[in-house]
Amino acid sequence: MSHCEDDVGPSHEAYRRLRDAFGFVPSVFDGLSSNPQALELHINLLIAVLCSDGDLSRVQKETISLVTARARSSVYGVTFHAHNLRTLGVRPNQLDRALAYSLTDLSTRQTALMDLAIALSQDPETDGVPRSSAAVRLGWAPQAVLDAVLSAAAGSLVCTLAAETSAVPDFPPIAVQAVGHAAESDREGDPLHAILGPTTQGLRGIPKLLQAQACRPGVLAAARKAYETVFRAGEPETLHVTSLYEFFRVVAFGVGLPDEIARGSISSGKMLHLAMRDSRPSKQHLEDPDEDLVSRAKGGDLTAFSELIHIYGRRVYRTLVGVLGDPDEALDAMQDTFLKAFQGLKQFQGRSRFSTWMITIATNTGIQRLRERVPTETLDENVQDRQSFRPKQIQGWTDNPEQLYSKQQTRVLVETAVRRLPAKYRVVVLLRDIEGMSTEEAAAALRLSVPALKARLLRGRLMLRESLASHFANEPAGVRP
Amino acid sequence: MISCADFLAELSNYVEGDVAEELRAQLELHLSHCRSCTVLVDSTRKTIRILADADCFELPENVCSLISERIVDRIQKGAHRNAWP
Repeated sequence: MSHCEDDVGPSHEAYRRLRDAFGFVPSVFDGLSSNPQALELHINLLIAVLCSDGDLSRVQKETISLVTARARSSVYGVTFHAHNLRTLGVRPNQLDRALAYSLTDLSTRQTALMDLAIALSQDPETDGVPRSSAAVRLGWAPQAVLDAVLSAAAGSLVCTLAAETSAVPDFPPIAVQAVGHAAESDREGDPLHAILGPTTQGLRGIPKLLQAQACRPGVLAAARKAYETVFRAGEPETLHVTSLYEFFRVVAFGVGLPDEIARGSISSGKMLHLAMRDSRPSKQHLEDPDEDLVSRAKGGDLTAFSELIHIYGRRVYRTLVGVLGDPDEALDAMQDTFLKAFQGLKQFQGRSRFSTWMITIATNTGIQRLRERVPTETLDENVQDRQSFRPKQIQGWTDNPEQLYSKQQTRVLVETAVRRLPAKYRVVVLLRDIEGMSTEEAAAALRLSVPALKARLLRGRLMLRESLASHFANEPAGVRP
Repeated sequence: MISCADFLAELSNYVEGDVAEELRAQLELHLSHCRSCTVLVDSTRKTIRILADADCFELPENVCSLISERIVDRIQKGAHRNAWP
Protein backbone atom coordinates (compact mmCIF):
# COMPACT_ATOMS: atom_id res chain seq x y z
CA MET A 1 0.00 0.00 0.00
CA SER A 2 1.07 3.60 -0.45
CA HIS A 3 3.15 5.19 2.26
CA CYS A 4 1.74 7.84 4.59
CA GLU A 5 3.11 11.33 4.95
CA ASP A 6 4.91 10.45 8.19
CA ASP A 7 7.43 8.08 6.61
CA VAL A 8 10.88 8.67 8.04
CA GLY A 9 14.27 6.98 7.85
CA PRO A 10 17.15 6.82 5.43
CA SER A 11 14.83 6.79 2.44
CA HIS A 12 12.81 9.78 3.53
CA GLU A 13 14.33 11.97 0.83
CA ALA A 14 13.64 9.33 -1.83
CA TYR A 15 10.02 9.04 -0.70
CA ARG A 16 9.67 12.81 -0.81
CA ARG A 17 10.89 12.81 -4.39
CA LEU A 18 8.34 10.13 -5.24
CA ARG A 19 5.54 12.18 -3.72
CA ASP A 20 6.69 15.23 -5.68
CA ALA A 21 6.80 13.25 -8.89
CA PHE A 22 3.71 11.06 -8.56
CA GLY A 23 1.71 12.49 -5.64
CA PHE A 24 2.14 9.26 -3.61
CA VAL A 25 4.70 6.57 -2.82
CA PRO A 26 3.96 3.60 -5.07
CA SER A 27 3.79 0.33 -3.13
CA VAL A 28 6.10 -1.31 -5.66
CA PHE A 29 8.97 0.26 -3.72
CA ASP A 30 7.93 -1.48 -0.48
CA GLY A 31 9.91 -4.51 -1.59
CA LEU A 32 13.08 -2.42 -1.57
CA SER A 33 12.51 -0.76 1.80
CA SER A 34 15.18 -2.93 3.43
CA ASN A 35 17.72 -1.96 0.77
CA PRO A 36 17.95 1.85 0.74
CA GLN A 37 20.65 1.92 -1.91
CA ALA A 38 18.62 -0.13 -4.38
CA LEU A 39 15.58 1.97 -3.52
CA GLU A 40 17.43 5.16 -4.42
CA LEU A 41 18.72 3.72 -7.68
CA HIS A 42 15.27 2.66 -8.82
CA ILE A 43 13.58 5.89 -7.81
CA ASN A 44 16.26 8.08 -9.40
CA LEU A 45 16.07 6.16 -12.66
CA LEU A 46 12.28 6.20 -12.82
CA ILE A 47 11.99 9.91 -12.05
CA ALA A 48 14.87 10.84 -14.37
CA VAL A 49 13.19 9.10 -17.30
CA LEU A 50 9.55 10.01 -16.75
CA CYS A 51 9.75 13.43 -15.14
CA SER A 52 12.64 15.21 -16.85
CA ASP A 53 12.26 17.39 -19.92
CA GLY A 54 12.80 15.71 -23.24
CA ASP A 55 11.44 15.52 -26.75
CA LEU A 56 8.38 13.63 -25.52
CA SER A 57 5.96 15.10 -22.98
CA ARG A 58 5.31 13.49 -19.60
CA VAL A 59 1.93 12.29 -20.91
CA GLN A 60 3.55 10.69 -23.95
CA LYS A 61 6.16 8.97 -21.78
CA GLU A 62 3.58 7.69 -19.31
CA THR A 63 1.45 6.44 -22.22
CA ILE A 64 4.39 4.49 -23.61
CA SER A 65 5.05 3.02 -20.16
CA LEU A 66 1.36 2.13 -19.93
CA VAL A 67 1.45 0.34 -23.29
CA THR A 68 4.59 -1.46 -22.11
CA ALA A 69 2.84 -2.58 -18.93
CA ARG A 70 -0.12 -3.79 -20.94
CA ALA A 71 2.13 -5.76 -23.29
CA ARG A 72 3.72 -7.35 -20.23
CA SER A 73 0.31 -8.15 -18.76
CA SER A 74 1.30 -6.32 -15.59
CA VAL A 75 -1.80 -5.28 -13.64
CA TYR A 76 0.39 -3.28 -11.26
CA GLY A 77 2.13 -1.43 -14.09
CA VAL A 78 -1.08 -0.63 -15.95
CA THR A 79 -2.79 0.60 -12.79
CA PHE A 80 0.23 2.73 -11.83
CA HIS A 81 0.71 4.44 -15.19
CA ALA A 82 -3.05 4.81 -15.79
CA HIS A 83 -3.30 6.61 -12.44
CA ASN A 84 -0.42 8.91 -13.38
CA LEU A 85 -2.09 9.72 -16.69
CA ARG A 86 -5.40 10.49 -15.00
CA THR A 87 -3.55 12.79 -12.61
CA LEU A 88 -2.02 14.53 -15.61
CA GLY A 89 -5.51 15.24 -16.94
CA VAL A 90 -5.92 12.40 -19.43
CA ARG A 91 -9.59 11.48 -19.83
CA PRO A 92 -10.82 7.89 -19.29
CA ASN A 93 -11.77 7.44 -22.94
CA GLN A 94 -8.25 8.51 -23.99
CA LEU A 95 -6.85 5.95 -21.57
CA ASP A 96 -9.03 3.29 -23.14
CA ARG A 97 -7.61 4.27 -26.52
CA ALA A 98 -4.09 3.80 -25.23
CA LEU A 99 -4.91 0.47 -23.62
CA ALA A 100 -6.60 -0.89 -26.73
CA TYR A 101 -4.37 0.96 -29.11
CA SER A 102 -4.51 -1.66 -31.83
CA LEU A 103 -8.27 -1.10 -32.12
CA THR A 104 -8.10 2.66 -32.40
CA ASP A 105 -7.59 4.98 -35.30
CA LEU A 106 -4.18 6.27 -34.26
CA SER A 107 -2.10 7.44 -37.19
CA THR A 108 0.79 5.37 -38.51
CA ARG A 109 3.19 7.81 -36.91
CA GLN A 110 1.54 7.76 -33.48
CA THR A 111 1.29 3.99 -33.59
CA ALA A 112 5.01 3.72 -34.39
CA LEU A 113 6.03 4.58 -30.81
CA MET A 114 3.39 2.24 -29.37
CA ASP A 115 4.63 -0.53 -31.64
CA LEU A 116 8.16 0.18 -30.46
CA ALA A 117 7.06 -0.14 -26.82
CA ILE A 118 5.33 -3.44 -27.52
CA ALA A 119 8.27 -4.77 -29.52
CA LEU A 120 10.62 -3.93 -26.66
CA SER A 121 8.34 -5.83 -24.29
CA GLN A 122 7.79 -8.88 -26.43
CA ASP A 123 10.65 -9.43 -28.83
CA PRO A 124 13.30 -6.73 -28.32
CA GLU A 125 16.13 -8.74 -29.87
CA THR A 126 14.37 -9.02 -33.22
CA ASP A 127 12.09 -6.02 -33.32
CA GLY A 128 13.74 -3.36 -31.16
CA VAL A 129 16.02 -1.66 -33.66
CA PRO A 130 13.71 -2.13 -36.71
CA ARG A 131 10.89 -0.47 -34.74
CA SER A 132 13.15 2.39 -33.59
CA SER A 133 14.24 2.88 -37.19
CA ALA A 134 10.63 2.81 -38.38
CA ALA A 135 9.73 5.55 -35.88
CA VAL A 136 12.55 7.76 -37.20
CA ARG A 137 11.50 7.09 -40.79
CA LEU A 138 8.01 8.23 -39.88
CA GLY A 139 9.34 11.61 -38.79
CA TRP A 140 10.08 11.22 -35.08
CA ALA A 141 13.30 12.95 -34.02
CA PRO A 142 15.92 10.42 -32.84
CA GLN A 143 15.88 12.04 -29.41
CA ALA A 144 12.11 11.43 -29.23
CA VAL A 145 12.69 7.79 -30.13
CA LEU A 146 15.33 7.60 -27.41
CA ASP A 147 12.77 9.03 -24.97
CA ALA A 148 10.30 6.37 -26.10
CA VAL A 149 12.88 3.60 -25.57
CA LEU A 150 13.69 4.97 -22.11
CA SER A 151 9.98 5.20 -21.23
CA ALA A 152 9.49 1.59 -22.29
CA ALA A 153 12.53 0.68 -20.18
CA ALA A 154 11.10 2.56 -17.18
CA GLY A 155 7.78 0.75 -17.66
CA SER A 156 9.67 -2.55 -17.77
CA LEU A 157 11.54 -1.63 -14.58
CA VAL A 158 8.26 -1.08 -12.71
CA CYS A 159 6.63 -4.25 -14.12
CA THR A 160 9.62 -6.46 -13.30
CA LEU A 161 9.92 -5.09 -9.79
CA ALA A 162 6.18 -5.50 -9.24
CA ALA A 163 6.30 -9.11 -10.44
CA GLU A 164 9.31 -9.93 -8.29
CA THR A 165 7.79 -8.41 -5.15
CA SER A 166 4.16 -9.38 -5.84
CA ALA A 167 3.28 -5.73 -5.37
CA VAL A 168 -0.38 -4.94 -4.80
CA PRO A 169 -1.71 -2.09 -6.97
CA ASP A 170 -2.07 1.21 -5.15
CA PHE A 171 -5.49 1.86 -6.67
CA PRO A 172 -8.40 -0.30 -7.88
CA PRO A 173 -6.59 -2.59 -10.31
CA ILE A 174 -7.20 -2.30 -14.02
CA ALA A 175 -7.51 -5.72 -15.64
CA VAL A 176 -5.33 -6.30 -18.67
CA GLN A 177 -5.75 -8.77 -21.44
CA ALA A 178 -2.71 -10.66 -22.57
CA VAL A 179 -1.36 -9.52 -25.89
CA GLY A 180 0.63 -12.56 -26.84
CA HIS A 181 3.13 -12.23 -24.04
CA ALA A 182 3.41 -14.41 -20.97
CA ALA A 183 2.37 -12.76 -17.72
CA GLU A 184 5.27 -11.83 -15.46
CA SER A 185 4.31 -14.50 -12.96
CA ASP A 186 4.44 -17.15 -15.68
CA ARG A 187 8.01 -16.41 -16.59
CA GLU A 188 10.65 -18.84 -15.61
CA GLY A 189 13.51 -17.06 -13.93
CA ASP A 190 15.19 -13.96 -15.23
CA PRO A 191 14.50 -13.56 -18.94
CA LEU A 192 17.79 -11.74 -19.31
CA HIS A 193 19.72 -14.85 -18.42
CA ALA A 194 18.32 -16.74 -21.36
CA ILE A 195 19.66 -14.11 -23.72
CA LEU A 196 22.78 -12.66 -22.20
CA GLY A 197 23.85 -15.50 -19.99
CA PRO A 198 23.51 -15.95 -16.26
CA THR A 199 26.33 -13.63 -15.24
CA THR A 200 26.98 -9.95 -15.62
CA GLN A 201 29.48 -10.88 -18.34
CA GLY A 202 26.72 -10.45 -20.89
CA LEU A 203 26.39 -6.84 -19.89
CA ARG A 204 29.96 -5.89 -20.75
CA GLY A 205 28.81 -3.51 -23.47
CA ILE A 206 26.34 -1.63 -21.34
CA PRO A 207 28.68 1.18 -20.22
CA LYS A 208 29.17 2.11 -23.86
CA LEU A 209 25.43 2.23 -24.25
CA LEU A 210 25.28 4.80 -21.51
CA GLN A 211 26.92 7.26 -23.88
CA ALA A 212 23.80 7.08 -26.03
CA GLN A 213 21.93 8.61 -23.17
CA ALA A 214 24.25 11.58 -22.94
CA CYS A 215 21.66 13.85 -24.49
CA ARG A 216 19.56 13.15 -21.39
CA PRO A 217 22.02 14.11 -18.62
CA GLY A 218 19.62 13.28 -15.77
CA VAL A 219 19.00 9.80 -17.13
CA LEU A 220 22.66 9.31 -17.84
CA ALA A 221 23.61 10.19 -14.26
CA ALA A 222 20.96 7.89 -12.77
CA ALA A 223 21.76 5.05 -15.17
CA ARG A 224 25.52 5.31 -14.66
CA LYS A 225 25.11 5.24 -10.93
CA ALA A 226 22.82 2.23 -11.15
CA TYR A 227 25.27 0.41 -13.38
CA GLU A 228 28.33 1.19 -11.34
CA THR A 229 26.72 0.45 -8.02
CA VAL A 230 25.04 -2.76 -8.93
CA PHE A 231 26.97 -4.38 -11.74
CA ARG A 232 30.53 -3.27 -11.18
CA ALA A 233 30.34 -3.79 -7.45
CA GLY A 234 29.75 -7.47 -8.21
CA GLU A 235 27.01 -7.73 -5.65
CA PRO A 236 25.08 -10.98 -5.53
CA GLU A 237 22.08 -11.05 -7.79
CA THR A 238 19.06 -9.89 -5.93
CA LEU A 239 15.67 -8.80 -7.07
CA HIS A 240 16.74 -5.21 -7.67
CA VAL A 241 19.37 -6.42 -10.11
CA THR A 242 16.75 -8.20 -12.18
CA SER A 243 14.65 -5.07 -12.63
CA LEU A 244 17.71 -2.99 -13.46
CA TYR A 245 18.88 -5.68 -15.91
CA GLU A 246 15.52 -5.38 -17.55
CA PHE A 247 15.86 -1.60 -17.81
CA PHE A 248 19.26 -1.84 -19.49
CA ARG A 249 18.21 -4.72 -21.69
CA VAL A 250 15.25 -2.78 -23.11
CA VAL A 251 17.41 0.29 -23.75
CA ALA A 252 20.13 -1.84 -25.34
CA PHE A 253 17.80 -3.50 -27.80
CA GLY A 254 15.91 -0.26 -28.42
CA VAL A 255 18.91 1.73 -29.58
CA GLY A 256 21.00 -1.10 -30.98
CA LEU A 257 23.36 -3.57 -29.40
CA PRO A 258 26.02 -1.60 -27.55
CA ASP A 259 29.10 -3.42 -28.79
CA GLU A 260 28.22 -2.48 -32.32
CA ILE A 261 27.46 1.10 -31.42
CA ALA A 262 30.50 2.42 -29.71
CA ARG A 263 33.15 2.27 -32.40
CA GLY A 264 35.46 5.23 -32.35
CA SER A 265 34.60 8.42 -30.56
CA ILE A 266 30.89 8.66 -31.07
CA SER A 267 29.04 10.93 -28.78
CA SER A 268 25.59 11.69 -27.45
CA GLY A 269 22.41 11.09 -29.43
CA LYS A 270 24.33 10.65 -32.66
CA MET A 271 25.04 7.15 -31.48
CA LEU A 272 21.39 6.41 -31.92
CA HIS A 273 21.60 7.23 -35.62
CA LEU A 274 24.59 4.98 -36.02
CA ALA A 275 22.99 2.23 -34.02
CA MET A 276 19.99 2.23 -36.25
CA ARG A 277 21.98 2.43 -39.47
CA ASP A 278 24.41 -0.30 -38.52
CA SER A 279 21.86 -2.60 -37.04
CA ARG A 280 19.62 -2.93 -40.06
CA PRO A 281 19.22 -6.59 -40.87
CA SER A 282 21.70 -7.87 -43.40
CA LYS A 283 20.50 -9.78 -46.43
CA GLN A 284 22.07 -12.94 -45.09
CA HIS A 285 19.77 -12.90 -42.10
CA LEU A 286 16.41 -12.34 -43.70
CA GLU A 287 13.62 -13.83 -41.72
CA ASP A 288 10.26 -13.73 -43.37
CA PRO A 289 7.37 -13.29 -40.97
CA ASP A 290 5.02 -14.66 -43.64
CA GLU A 291 6.96 -17.85 -44.25
CA ASP A 292 4.34 -20.13 -42.75
CA LEU A 293 1.39 -18.51 -44.56
CA VAL A 294 3.28 -18.50 -47.86
CA SER A 295 4.20 -22.13 -47.49
CA ARG A 296 0.58 -23.08 -46.77
CA ALA A 297 -0.67 -20.96 -49.68
CA LYS A 298 1.85 -22.66 -51.97
CA GLY A 299 0.36 -25.96 -50.91
CA GLY A 300 -3.03 -24.74 -52.13
CA ASP A 301 -4.42 -23.49 -48.80
CA LEU A 302 -6.75 -20.71 -49.97
CA THR A 303 -7.47 -19.57 -46.41
CA ALA A 304 -3.75 -18.82 -45.99
CA PHE A 305 -3.69 -16.90 -49.27
CA SER A 306 -6.79 -14.98 -48.22
CA GLU A 307 -4.96 -14.01 -45.04
CA LEU A 308 -2.02 -12.74 -47.12
CA ILE A 309 -4.48 -10.60 -49.12
CA HIS A 310 -5.70 -9.05 -45.87
CA ILE A 311 -2.13 -8.46 -44.62
CA TYR A 312 -0.87 -6.88 -47.85
CA GLY A 313 -4.09 -5.31 -49.16
CA ARG A 314 -3.28 -1.79 -47.97
CA ARG A 315 0.35 -1.89 -49.07
CA VAL A 316 -0.56 -3.23 -52.52
CA TYR A 317 -3.28 -0.59 -52.84
CA ARG A 318 -0.92 2.24 -51.91
CA THR A 319 1.72 0.92 -54.32
CA LEU A 320 -0.86 0.93 -57.10
CA VAL A 321 -2.02 4.43 -56.18
CA GLY A 322 1.64 5.41 -56.25
CA VAL A 323 2.18 4.08 -59.75
CA LEU A 324 -1.20 4.95 -61.24
CA GLY A 325 -2.09 8.09 -59.28
CA ASP A 326 -5.75 7.14 -59.38
CA PRO A 327 -7.36 5.45 -56.33
CA ASP A 328 -10.23 3.99 -58.38
CA GLU A 329 -7.91 2.47 -60.93
CA ALA A 330 -5.73 1.18 -58.10
CA LEU A 331 -8.71 -0.62 -56.57
CA ASP A 332 -9.45 -2.10 -59.95
CA ALA A 333 -5.87 -3.34 -60.32
CA MET A 334 -5.75 -5.01 -56.90
CA GLN A 335 -7.55 -8.16 -57.93
CA ASP A 336 -5.27 -8.52 -60.93
CA THR A 337 -2.22 -8.13 -58.69
CA PHE A 338 -3.26 -10.78 -56.17
CA LEU A 339 -4.31 -13.18 -58.91
CA LYS A 340 -0.86 -12.86 -60.51
CA ALA A 341 0.69 -13.41 -57.09
CA PHE A 342 -1.26 -16.59 -56.55
CA GLN A 343 -0.37 -17.86 -60.02
CA GLY A 344 3.31 -17.06 -59.47
CA LEU A 345 3.50 -18.35 -55.90
CA LYS A 346 5.17 -21.61 -56.90
CA GLN A 347 8.05 -19.60 -58.42
CA PHE A 348 8.59 -17.64 -55.20
CA GLN A 349 11.78 -19.13 -53.78
CA GLY A 350 12.10 -16.98 -50.66
CA ARG A 351 15.24 -15.20 -51.88
CA SER A 352 13.58 -11.95 -50.86
CA ARG A 353 10.90 -11.31 -48.29
CA PHE A 354 7.40 -12.13 -49.45
CA SER A 355 6.46 -8.47 -48.88
CA THR A 356 9.15 -7.32 -51.33
CA TRP A 357 8.02 -9.87 -53.91
CA MET A 358 4.38 -8.82 -53.49
CA ILE A 359 5.15 -5.12 -53.95
CA THR A 360 7.21 -5.89 -57.06
CA ILE A 361 4.19 -7.64 -58.57
CA ALA A 362 1.96 -4.68 -57.66
CA THR A 363 4.46 -2.26 -59.22
CA ASN A 364 4.70 -4.29 -62.41
CA THR A 365 0.91 -4.59 -62.63
CA GLY A 366 0.66 -0.82 -62.24
CA ILE A 367 3.36 -0.17 -64.85
CA GLN A 368 1.60 -2.45 -67.30
CA ARG A 369 -1.58 -0.37 -66.93
CA LEU A 370 0.40 2.84 -67.12
CA ARG A 371 1.81 1.80 -70.50
CA GLU A 372 -1.69 1.40 -71.87
CA ARG A 373 -2.37 5.05 -71.14
CA VAL A 374 -1.93 7.86 -73.64
CA PRO A 375 0.14 9.95 -73.03
CA THR A 376 2.35 7.45 -71.28
CA GLU A 377 3.90 8.07 -67.89
CA THR A 378 7.04 6.18 -67.00
CA LEU A 379 8.95 5.05 -63.94
CA ASP A 380 12.19 4.90 -65.90
CA GLU A 381 15.10 7.18 -65.17
CA ASN A 382 15.54 10.16 -67.46
CA VAL A 383 17.54 13.35 -67.71
CA GLN A 384 15.25 15.10 -65.24
CA ASP A 385 16.31 12.66 -62.50
CA ARG A 386 19.91 13.71 -62.84
CA GLN A 387 19.19 17.43 -62.80
CA SER A 388 19.15 19.16 -59.45
CA PHE A 389 15.86 20.42 -58.12
CA ARG A 390 15.89 23.91 -56.74
CA PRO A 391 13.31 24.71 -54.04
CA LYS A 392 11.53 28.02 -54.60
CA GLN A 393 9.39 28.33 -51.47
CA ILE A 394 11.61 29.46 -48.63
CA GLN A 395 9.22 30.97 -46.09
CA GLY A 396 9.07 29.28 -42.69
CA TRP A 397 6.24 26.97 -41.74
CA THR A 398 4.02 27.32 -38.69
CA ASP A 399 5.08 25.40 -35.59
CA ASN A 400 2.16 22.99 -35.67
CA PRO A 401 0.98 22.83 -39.26
CA GLU A 402 -1.29 19.86 -38.47
CA GLN A 403 -3.45 22.10 -36.30
CA LEU A 404 -4.30 24.50 -39.12
CA TYR A 405 -6.83 22.15 -40.70
CA SER A 406 -9.09 19.28 -39.70
CA LYS A 407 -7.67 15.82 -40.21
CA GLN A 408 -10.00 15.29 -43.17
CA GLN A 409 -8.91 18.58 -44.76
CA THR A 410 -5.24 17.73 -44.28
CA ARG A 411 -5.78 14.31 -45.83
CA VAL A 412 -7.41 15.86 -48.90
CA LEU A 413 -4.57 18.40 -49.24
CA VAL A 414 -1.92 15.70 -48.96
CA GLU A 415 -3.66 13.23 -51.25
CA THR A 416 -4.11 15.93 -53.89
CA ALA A 417 -0.46 16.94 -53.65
CA VAL A 418 0.73 13.33 -53.82
CA ARG A 419 -1.44 12.57 -56.85
CA ARG A 420 0.07 15.53 -58.68
CA LEU A 421 3.58 14.10 -58.37
CA PRO A 422 5.05 12.30 -61.38
CA ALA A 423 4.59 8.54 -61.00
CA LYS A 424 8.24 7.72 -60.30
CA TYR A 425 8.37 10.07 -57.30
CA ARG A 426 4.82 9.35 -56.18
CA VAL A 427 5.39 5.64 -55.74
CA VAL A 428 8.62 6.16 -53.78
CA VAL A 429 7.02 8.71 -51.44
CA LEU A 430 4.03 6.43 -50.88
CA LEU A 431 6.13 3.40 -50.03
CA ARG A 432 8.67 5.22 -47.86
CA ASP A 433 6.86 8.08 -46.16
CA ILE A 434 3.26 6.92 -46.10
CA GLU A 435 3.60 3.15 -45.92
CA GLY A 436 6.77 3.33 -43.81
CA MET A 437 8.91 0.83 -45.75
CA SER A 438 12.69 0.96 -45.31
CA THR A 439 14.88 2.41 -48.06
CA GLU A 440 16.37 -1.00 -48.79
CA GLU A 441 12.99 -2.76 -48.95
CA ALA A 442 11.43 -0.10 -51.20
CA ALA A 443 14.49 -0.13 -53.49
CA ALA A 444 14.34 -3.92 -53.79
CA ALA A 445 10.60 -3.90 -54.52
CA LEU A 446 10.93 -1.19 -57.17
CA ARG A 447 14.09 -2.81 -58.61
CA LEU A 448 16.05 0.39 -58.02
CA SER A 449 19.47 0.88 -56.51
CA VAL A 450 19.47 2.45 -53.05
CA PRO A 451 21.08 5.72 -54.33
CA ALA A 452 18.49 5.93 -57.13
CA LEU A 453 15.66 5.43 -54.66
CA LYS A 454 17.11 8.05 -52.34
CA ALA A 455 17.42 10.53 -55.22
CA ARG A 456 13.78 10.03 -56.15
CA LEU A 457 12.68 10.26 -52.53
CA LEU A 458 14.50 13.56 -52.12
CA ARG A 459 12.94 14.96 -55.30
CA GLY A 460 9.48 13.70 -54.31
CA ARG A 461 9.69 15.17 -50.82
CA LEU A 462 10.91 18.53 -52.13
CA MET A 463 8.11 18.68 -54.70
CA LEU A 464 5.54 17.85 -52.04
CA ARG A 465 7.01 20.45 -49.72
CA GLU A 466 6.68 23.07 -52.47
CA SER A 467 3.14 22.02 -53.12
CA LEU A 468 2.08 22.06 -49.45
CA ALA A 469 3.96 25.26 -48.55
CA SER A 470 1.10 27.53 -49.62
CA HIS A 471 -1.12 25.82 -47.03
CA PHE A 472 1.29 25.51 -44.12
CA ALA A 473 3.65 28.47 -44.39
CA ASN A 474 3.64 31.33 -41.91
CA GLU A 475 3.13 34.03 -44.45
CA PRO A 476 2.27 34.39 -48.12
CA ALA A 477 4.62 32.41 -50.30
CA GLY A 478 8.04 33.88 -50.81
CA VAL A 479 10.02 32.94 -53.85
CA ARG A 480 13.72 32.22 -53.92
CA PRO A 481 15.21 34.63 -56.44
CA MET B 1 32.79 24.61 -47.11
CA ILE B 2 29.35 23.20 -47.80
CA SER B 3 27.18 25.09 -50.30
CA CYS B 4 23.38 25.17 -50.38
CA ALA B 5 23.44 22.76 -53.34
CA ASP B 6 25.65 20.33 -51.37
CA PHE B 7 23.30 20.63 -48.44
CA LEU B 8 20.27 19.96 -50.62
CA ALA B 9 21.84 16.75 -51.93
CA GLU B 10 22.13 15.47 -48.36
CA LEU B 11 18.81 16.81 -47.10
CA SER B 12 16.93 13.49 -46.97
CA ASN B 13 19.83 11.68 -45.33
CA TYR B 14 20.27 14.52 -42.85
CA VAL B 15 16.65 14.60 -41.69
CA GLU B 16 16.74 10.83 -41.26
CA GLY B 17 19.98 10.97 -39.29
CA ASP B 18 21.70 8.87 -41.92
CA VAL B 19 24.95 10.83 -42.33
CA ALA B 20 28.41 10.24 -40.92
CA GLU B 21 29.42 12.33 -37.96
CA GLU B 22 31.99 14.43 -39.83
CA LEU B 23 29.54 15.29 -42.59
CA ARG B 24 26.83 16.03 -40.04
CA ALA B 25 29.11 18.56 -38.36
CA GLN B 26 29.72 20.28 -41.72
CA LEU B 27 26.01 20.32 -42.52
CA GLU B 28 25.20 21.79 -39.13
CA LEU B 29 27.86 24.44 -39.56
CA HIS B 30 26.20 25.40 -42.84
CA LEU B 31 22.80 25.47 -41.14
CA SER B 32 24.10 27.81 -38.45
CA HIS B 33 24.44 30.61 -40.98
CA CYS B 34 21.95 29.71 -43.72
CA ARG B 35 18.34 30.61 -43.06
CA SER B 36 17.05 29.14 -46.34
CA CYS B 37 18.45 25.70 -45.61
CA THR B 38 17.22 25.89 -42.01
CA VAL B 39 13.72 26.56 -43.33
CA LEU B 40 14.16 23.74 -45.81
CA VAL B 41 15.08 21.26 -43.07
CA ASP B 42 12.22 22.34 -40.84
CA SER B 43 9.58 22.28 -43.57
CA THR B 44 10.83 18.97 -44.98
CA ARG B 45 10.60 17.39 -41.52
CA LYS B 46 7.07 18.75 -41.19
CA THR B 47 6.18 17.48 -44.66
CA ILE B 48 7.31 13.96 -43.72
CA ARG B 49 5.39 14.17 -40.44
CA ILE B 50 2.23 15.34 -42.16
CA LEU B 51 2.53 12.58 -44.75
CA ALA B 52 2.86 9.92 -42.08
CA ASP B 53 0.05 11.31 -39.94
CA ALA B 54 -2.51 12.04 -42.64
CA ASP B 55 -3.59 8.42 -43.15
CA CYS B 56 -3.64 9.00 -46.87
CA PHE B 57 -5.07 6.56 -49.33
CA GLU B 58 -6.62 4.28 -46.76
CA LEU B 59 -8.01 1.16 -48.29
CA PRO B 60 -11.83 1.24 -48.20
CA GLU B 61 -13.36 -1.26 -45.80
CA ASN B 62 -14.17 -4.77 -47.00
CA VAL B 63 -12.11 -4.44 -50.18
CA CYS B 64 -9.76 -7.23 -49.08
CA SER B 65 -12.66 -9.55 -48.21
CA LEU B 66 -14.30 -8.85 -51.55
CA ILE B 67 -11.09 -9.42 -53.54
CA SER B 68 -10.32 -12.49 -51.51
CA GLU B 69 -13.78 -13.98 -52.23
CA ARG B 70 -13.50 -13.23 -55.94
CA ILE B 71 -10.02 -14.72 -56.23
CA VAL B 72 -10.87 -17.84 -54.24
CA ASP B 73 -13.98 -18.27 -56.38
CA ARG B 74 -11.97 -17.85 -59.55
CA ILE B 75 -9.24 -20.25 -58.44
CA GLN B 76 -11.77 -22.86 -57.41
CA LYS B 77 -13.58 -22.57 -60.75
CA GLY B 78 -10.23 -22.87 -62.51
CA ALA B 79 -9.38 -25.95 -60.48
CA HIS B 80 -12.78 -27.39 -61.32
CA ARG B 81 -12.22 -26.80 -65.04
CA ASN B 82 -8.78 -28.40 -64.80
CA ALA B 83 -10.29 -31.44 -63.15
CA TRP B 84 -12.93 -31.78 -65.89
CA PRO B 85 -11.29 -30.58 -69.09
